[in-house]
This record gives sequence, C-alpha cells and structure tokens, in this order.
Amino acid sequence: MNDGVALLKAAQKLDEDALTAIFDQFAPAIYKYTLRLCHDPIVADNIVGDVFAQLLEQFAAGKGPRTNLRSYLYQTAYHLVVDRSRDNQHNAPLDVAVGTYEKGQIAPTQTQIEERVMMEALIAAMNTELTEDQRHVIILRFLEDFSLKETAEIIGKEVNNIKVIQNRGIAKLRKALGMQLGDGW
Amino acid sequence: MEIEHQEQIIIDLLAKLKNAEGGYPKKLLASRRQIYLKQIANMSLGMGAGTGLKNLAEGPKGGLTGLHLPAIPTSTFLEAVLVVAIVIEAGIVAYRYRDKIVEILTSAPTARAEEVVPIPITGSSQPEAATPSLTPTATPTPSPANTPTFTVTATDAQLLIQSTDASATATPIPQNDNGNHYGQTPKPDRTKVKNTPKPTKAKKDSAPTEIYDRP
Repeated sequence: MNDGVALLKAAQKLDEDALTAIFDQFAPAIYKYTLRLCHDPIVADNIVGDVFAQLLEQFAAGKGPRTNLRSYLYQTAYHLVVDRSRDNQHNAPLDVAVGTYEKGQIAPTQTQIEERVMMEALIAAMNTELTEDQRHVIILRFLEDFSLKETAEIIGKEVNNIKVIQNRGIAKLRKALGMQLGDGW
Repeated sequence: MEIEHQEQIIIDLLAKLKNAEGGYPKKLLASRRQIYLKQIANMSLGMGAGTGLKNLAEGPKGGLTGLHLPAIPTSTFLEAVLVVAIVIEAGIVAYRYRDKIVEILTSAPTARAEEVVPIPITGSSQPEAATPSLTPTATPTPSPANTPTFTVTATDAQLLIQSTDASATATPIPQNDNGNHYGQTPKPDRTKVKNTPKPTKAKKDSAPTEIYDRP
C-alpha cells in the first residue's frame, strides 16, 4: 500500500522510473480487462495505449488519481471501451476466455471435463444472457477482484445499485446454466 | 439453499476463469511499452524540465542527492536563467568599456546655478546703455498724418533683464473709497447755445414758387 502511494506520488512528479513501473504493473491487467470486453487483441492494445496516454496527460496537467491508481486506470479503460462500442454502434461483445482455456493437453479427468463443460456454458451465458452493465459488474467484481465501492466508482453508479446488478447477473447465469446443463447441475 | 450453492459454484468458476486468462502478447506489449516510453520522454522534454531537474537532484541515480531544489516551473526557471545571463553580460561589457564610460560621465555637461553666461550686448559698448532709453524723434502733432516714431536703442535681451530687475509696484489703495460712485460723475457742460431760434419749417406751398422764380 505504501509502495503504491509512493509510486503514485513519484509518478505525479513525472518521475520516469515511476511511470514505467506503473505501466509494467498495470498494463497486462488492463489488457486482459479490455480484451474481455472487446474480444479484439488489437483494440485492447490500443485501449491500453490510450489509457496510459491519458494518465500521462493528467499527471502533466497536475491532475490524475490521488489515491487509487488501479481503480482509476480501470475506470479510464471502461469509459474508453464504452465509448468505442458506442462509436461502432454495436454492443461490445464479451469474450471472457478467448483462446485461454486450454483444451486438455493432458488427458483430463472426469471432474476436469465437467468443469470445462460448465466453464464453456458460463462463458456462453455471460456473452449472451447478461446485459452490458451486468457483464461489467461481474467482470470487475469476480475477475478483477474490485470491491463494491471500487466497482461503483469505476462504473459510476451507487454501491446499492451495483449490488442489485451483481445479484441479477448471477441469477441470470444460474438460470442459463440450468437451461444448458439441466436443473440438477 | 440450492440456489445459494449454485451461485457459489458460479462464483468459483468465475474465479477459475480469472486465473485461466491469457496474458498480453509479448510483441504487442513491447511495442506498446516503447511508445509509452517515448511519450514520457517527450513530456519530460516539453513540459517537465523543472520537475525533471528536481527529480534528477532527488533521485538515487542523480548524483546530486544532497541538493534539494524547489519545484520550479519551466518558464520561471528559464526566465531566471535569462535574467542572470543578461546581468552577467552587462557586467562584462561595463568592465571592458569602463574607461569610455568614465569619460562619458565626466564630460557630460552639468547644470550649475552659479555659472551664468553673460549675454553679449549689441549696439553699445558701455554698460550704461543697458537701460532702455526712449528718445522720441518727433513730437506728436495733432495732424493725423504724422504718426509718432520711437527708436529703441536697447535690445530685447536688455529689456528682458531690465524687466526682471524692476520691482513691480502695486496700485495704491484709494482712501475713503468704498467703491460706490453713484451720483459723483460730473455732468458734462452744455454745448448748445440758449435762445437760438429754431429754424422755421418751410411751407409746403412756397417750394414750387421758388422753382418758378429761378432764372
């Protein structure tokens, strides 16, 4: 925590080492997050570039985050993804685990097979059943480990609203998995 | 109870999904990092020269660890450097040309109140002639054809000196005069002669007869 605060203070003074360290620490995570939202590696890479360019501009102008740098970066990425999806006139599809869930290089066990089937059903449900807000909230809460408060800050909603969105999203996923896997899954 | 269990399974699956994610492709990450470093370098050159100096002084690699420079904006820093350079250059020039400067300063005319340059008097060699004398060459006569002419022997400068030397005398205050002069104006004498017969009016009828009487 103290390291994060010291890093942020050094970055505010435009310290080159601090700015580079911030990129090395957060760029891969931001890339994953944007890739989940926009499913295109090139677009995700561009959004990462935009996020850090905006961060530099903010620091140069004497602005930028004062406390929670990680939340700030995700918030910027979220807004960029939303803006891009609006510009493209289509919903940003969520490709949660594109090419990442390796299909058994080693002979999978029965449990692993069941888990993989459930995982694929879950990914399909997230892509098709959830609304955009529900996807964002579930990704931020369970894939990026943000708290309710941080998620609310990133998305720009109240904490109670985030709770409702999260519960509705999980309920939808449960129903979708029940439809795909049977009621007794 | 069943619902809560299923929701917990979903949350566990999501957690596993998080760990199963692929990373940033190395080529993309390297190129993005290079672009980012260029942006930092450009920003440091363009905007953060003052801050960069501070970081250089405070940073562990700077070699000036003991030196604590205040956070100076770039414009202020450059302005201070320019002012110092101008002052140094002016000092060098002044030192190099100090002899000429001293000469110029000593030869410059100084205004002194004691030194009054005497005005040359033209037209007369004697100092008595400084007083203006008006010598009328002709006395004024009642005839309007002869206008009085005067010859002024003193120059204008002498007149100026004379006028400055002469003390102005105020008009004497009249005694027993409150300013009310009503009824004190003397009456003018009558010029008309009394008992002068008025000219009789000519009769209207007599005029034509005179015309006929002429030869």
